[in-house]
Amino acid sequence: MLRTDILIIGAGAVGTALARELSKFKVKVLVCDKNDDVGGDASKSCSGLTSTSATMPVGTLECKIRTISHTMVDVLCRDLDIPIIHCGSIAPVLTDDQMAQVPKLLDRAWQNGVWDYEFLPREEILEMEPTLNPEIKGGIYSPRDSQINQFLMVVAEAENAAENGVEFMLDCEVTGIETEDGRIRRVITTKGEIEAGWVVNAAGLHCDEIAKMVGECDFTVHPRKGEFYVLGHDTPVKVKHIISSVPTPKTRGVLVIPTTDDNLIVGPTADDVEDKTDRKTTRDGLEEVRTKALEMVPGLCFGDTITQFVGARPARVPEGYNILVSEKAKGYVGISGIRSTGLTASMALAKYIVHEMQGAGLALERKVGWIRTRRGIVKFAGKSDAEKDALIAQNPLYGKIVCRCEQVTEAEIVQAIRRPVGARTLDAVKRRVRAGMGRCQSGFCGPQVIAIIARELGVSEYDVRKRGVAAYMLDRGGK
Amino acid sequence: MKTIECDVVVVGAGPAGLAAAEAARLAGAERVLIVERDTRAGGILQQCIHPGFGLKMFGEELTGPEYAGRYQERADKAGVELMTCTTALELRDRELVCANSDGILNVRFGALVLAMGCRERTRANLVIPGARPSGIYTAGTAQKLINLYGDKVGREIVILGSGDIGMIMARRLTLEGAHVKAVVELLPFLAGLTRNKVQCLDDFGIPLLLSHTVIDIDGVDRLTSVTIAPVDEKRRPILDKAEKIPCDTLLLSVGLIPENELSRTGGIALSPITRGPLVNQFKQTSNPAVFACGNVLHVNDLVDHVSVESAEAGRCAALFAANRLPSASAFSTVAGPGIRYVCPQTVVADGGADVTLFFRTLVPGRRTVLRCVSGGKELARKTCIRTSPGTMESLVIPKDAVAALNDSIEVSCEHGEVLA
Amino acid sequence: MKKTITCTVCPQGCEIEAEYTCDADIVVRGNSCPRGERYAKDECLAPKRTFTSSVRIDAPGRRMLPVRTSAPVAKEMLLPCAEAAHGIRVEGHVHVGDVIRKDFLGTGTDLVASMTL
Repeated sequence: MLRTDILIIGAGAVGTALARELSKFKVKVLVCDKNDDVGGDASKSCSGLTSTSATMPVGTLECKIRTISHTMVDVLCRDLDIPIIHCGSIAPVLTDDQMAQVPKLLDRAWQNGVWDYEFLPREEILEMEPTLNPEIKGGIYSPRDSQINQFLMVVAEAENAAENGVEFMLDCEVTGIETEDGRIRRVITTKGEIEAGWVVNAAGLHCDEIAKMVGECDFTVHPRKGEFYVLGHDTPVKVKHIISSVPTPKTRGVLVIPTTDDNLIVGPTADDVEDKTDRKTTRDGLEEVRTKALEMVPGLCFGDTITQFVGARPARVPEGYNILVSEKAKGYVGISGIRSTGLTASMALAKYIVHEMQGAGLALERKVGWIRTRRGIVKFAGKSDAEKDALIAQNPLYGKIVCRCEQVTEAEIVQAIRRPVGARTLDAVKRRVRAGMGRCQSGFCGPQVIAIIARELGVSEYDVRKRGVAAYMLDRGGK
Repeated sequence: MKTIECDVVVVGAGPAGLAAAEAARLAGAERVLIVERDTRAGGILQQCIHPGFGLKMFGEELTGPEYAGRYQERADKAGVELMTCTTALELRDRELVCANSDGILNVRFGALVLAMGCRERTRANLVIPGARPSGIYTAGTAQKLINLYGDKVGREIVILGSGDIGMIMARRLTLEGAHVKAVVELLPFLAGLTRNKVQCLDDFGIPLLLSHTVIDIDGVDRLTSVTIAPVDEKRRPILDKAEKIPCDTLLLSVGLIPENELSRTGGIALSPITRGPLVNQFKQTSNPAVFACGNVLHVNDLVDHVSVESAEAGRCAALFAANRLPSASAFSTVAGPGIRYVCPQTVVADGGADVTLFFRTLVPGRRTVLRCVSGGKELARKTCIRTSPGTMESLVIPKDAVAALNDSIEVSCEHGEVLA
Repeated sequence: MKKTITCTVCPQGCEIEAEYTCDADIVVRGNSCPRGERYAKDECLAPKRTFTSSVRIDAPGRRMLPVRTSAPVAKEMLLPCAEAAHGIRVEGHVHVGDVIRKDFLGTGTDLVASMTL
């Protein structure tokens, strides 16, 4: 039987941040996830926004943790080589109703310690962001809102955690948790039983199912679906700042976001649904995003869409961040209510959880030789001729361009697969190095990437999946 | 980093690039180099294993690989150099930056021919709502997997779009033992060639549903079904007539887009309609040293046309490199009533040769009169038994008329009877 | 009997009317070339198609060899031909036009390579 000191269920933003935090200590940590890749459900399909706590409910745990965490983002990005753009955000004020909201929003931001959240007059906003609707009455400028590459953030934390000794078990679903004398004993998974002293439930959208296994579930979780468009590099109208609707307490509304890869993400909707597997875009949802985005940025070219997708934020009822250190089942820690703010909050949240666990008797001793930094896969695209030439000289696979749309080379794809917690599916490769992320959506490179994954993993091409275990690409029984 | 010099460099060794390179050599260019990212020449024709190529060019019915093979031999014989496994990264003024496993290669050129072909439109371009399972392929990707890799993509198939590749794949999949349940087309008429409907759909009893579209996609992991619905005259789906079709594979054959990312790096002016470079009859782009031909210029339905057009581009590139390409005032071509676009977009008033205008009509019709008029004078005219937007049409302006041009040229189409 | 046939000899796609009583006597209208007439008569009596496929090959960097029949075969032979092509494995160097299977499935035409590998 596998044995670990701490088992983290869920390899999303929270689970991997916690794994990295715990990797600083002399404890054995195992992370399991039912998906084939780290990134969870919500984290990999969120907007990638990392913003201040200006719009957070005042005085809540969520607000406190996120305020602290936001200050930690830049160091994390520097240490782990995570792409981030410090673009700031603008919420254009379009209607009188929205204008009436402004003083309340400024007041709340002030209470939350975000003193640089300001209302600027129309002329100043339009000068900063000329693509905005000229009819605006002004706008709220939030200079410290940033855009992070949310895929690479989780991948980077996972790689670094793995390098520091954390083990990852993917395609591994938890089906039961056993207790003995009021203490956690073992966890039953689809990959066998795991004996663990501590179990941390960071299962996001599925954290209620895990919580039920230890009888600590007094809440429900359902997906809040968000539909997004992604527009290509060449789209003629681009924004320099994150453009957001004037926020309401429930959501920041539709955003137009410049990404770290020079695309635009436009969305999301916020629809509460029951089915946790529902990732369907809808005619109405996409139309809603389009209409709302065009009100703010009238020139957006939705004809340049390269893909649409759905993100599923875990919506807890009752809402609010909740960290439960169980009395009933000692050793169980339940994390719930971490909604879309979790990406930003995850660093401080990890510290907070560790602190809570220590309070409950977890003894931790700092490791010597903990590796703080990690470097990303060196990209070929965007380098100078001389730099490209040097890359090819080091590794001739840099001279083989596989994804023509994003200019991704075989060298990058091979690294994505070979690294710790490496990619094993087409989608996992795509998230790490962008092969298939461009305008042709893997039509051209897909067959080649399948062949590279099969070769690197020593499996048949028929066993290469788009994602998971059931999303097969090729049908067995070929000639 | 290496630098080489050549008179004419051609990007892409598909049918367009091969024909252009051969013609450039025959027109006197000393060193002609093709840069190709694949391991061999032939381009997309390598996977087009079906017959139907070369009827006009060779007077016989060839398969894609045979057609490409013949052009490759001709290019070889003409002394064209071919550099495979090499990707063109960036077009600069008189310099093409390429990469291969030896490093970065700068190719300095007298003239360059863009012949990169096209790519397929995807599901996202159409905004089909629904889930994002595996099992959704563009028709060309499925063709590559089946014909080049020997793989199977699925068993129960629905095809969206009646483009040629989609219909050809309907037949191919049927012969490979899959069950093609329907070909669904948004428009009230066929997007591809009639003969492909006859030989690929009718021969196998595959239903063609015109004025229908896919409105929903289901499947958490692999595709499990698509929902189709008829559309009204404004192409809006009639939702209460929707029908769910269980299937594991959806192929998309919904159009091709010229692949002009390299052209963009060189600042080449593109047409918003064809999405290819704006050219004159020499296939010369907004950068006078850069020429374009084949599907990178505008999407063709017959490779035979591509070969003719590309040979002209190659010949003119060679002349330009030798400072012998004529120059005179240029007049624009205009897509008149019933015409979607005309290529080339300008005609130089040089009487060296007849000029062929290629264009597409907007709707299908019978007894169609095609005309081209300049300054109130008819320069060319022809009557066709039938025309359709899926078939490229052409008119030839005699060289005397070209030399005498002093106004823009309008192409128009008048149907005796409009179909659909 | 009367039949409307869409000619597929060239992309023009003429709609040809063919009227016939017995095998020998077919009247064809609507074709714009003599090849269309021949095609329409064939379609009435014994429709034929060129069969193409790809078969396994052991060649460096290549798994499949495109093949075709050297002449059109009876339409109903297309599926049996496809079935038979599945079992074919080719080894070594192949030149375009090389015969892979002589008198393929008794159709009287050869299965030949359509690419040099």
